Amino acid sequence: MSTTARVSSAIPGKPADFGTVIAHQPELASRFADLYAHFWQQGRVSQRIKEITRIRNARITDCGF
Amino acid sequence: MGWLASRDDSVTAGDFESVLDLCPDLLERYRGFYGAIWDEGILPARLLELCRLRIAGLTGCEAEGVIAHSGSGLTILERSSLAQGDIPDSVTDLERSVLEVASKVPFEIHGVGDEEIAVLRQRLGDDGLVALMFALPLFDATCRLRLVFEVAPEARDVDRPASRTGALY
Repeated sequence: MSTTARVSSAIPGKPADFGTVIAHQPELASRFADLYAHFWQQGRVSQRIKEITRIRNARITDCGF
Repeated sequence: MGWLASRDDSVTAGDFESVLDLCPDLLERYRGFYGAIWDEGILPARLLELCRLRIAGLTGCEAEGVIAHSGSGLTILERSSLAQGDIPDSVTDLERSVLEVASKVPFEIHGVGDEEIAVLRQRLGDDGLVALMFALPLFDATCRLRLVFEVAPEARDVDRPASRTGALY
């Protein structure tokens, strides 16, 4: 998989990264952020468990980002 | 039959929406995100439906595969082909290019190559490519949610699989 961005930044003057790339779709980006932030903010599952599973998932999928 | 009781404990949470409704705040945000994929018209419904069913076939998610987006224009033959794990012969060159990338999302994401992405970027534009890359993992995640919760397959013809303001199938 490429280690350089395959899509341009949607924000002039800013480099292409996850946030500036998904900004090409502001409505989807906003709704994704709303869901993902709520997942981290709500307390049904501990932050420790969520962080362990996040890192484990990154390792399994070999996502160095 | 699912594993979980519904929120009022009276019946088993058998359908997808009632399972997610065990966490209503998350359900509403999930509906808002997933529904926006279908509501915004950013990508053709036919293209989204091809990808959704392709990923359902690859993940072996019957509960996802038996839902039919009736307005997407897919034929019975195309649905049948996707259900059997094939890419229909009738798809366009663009649809085939998109489906080849979609096919790698569930189990071989590192196999998605620069050239494949460059082709899609040229054909869809940056905004279309980003929309597609929101949609494909979301279809995959939705299949995985149905599978892990053992949501029972229920064949339905629906206006669209989800909407920000409507049902989530």
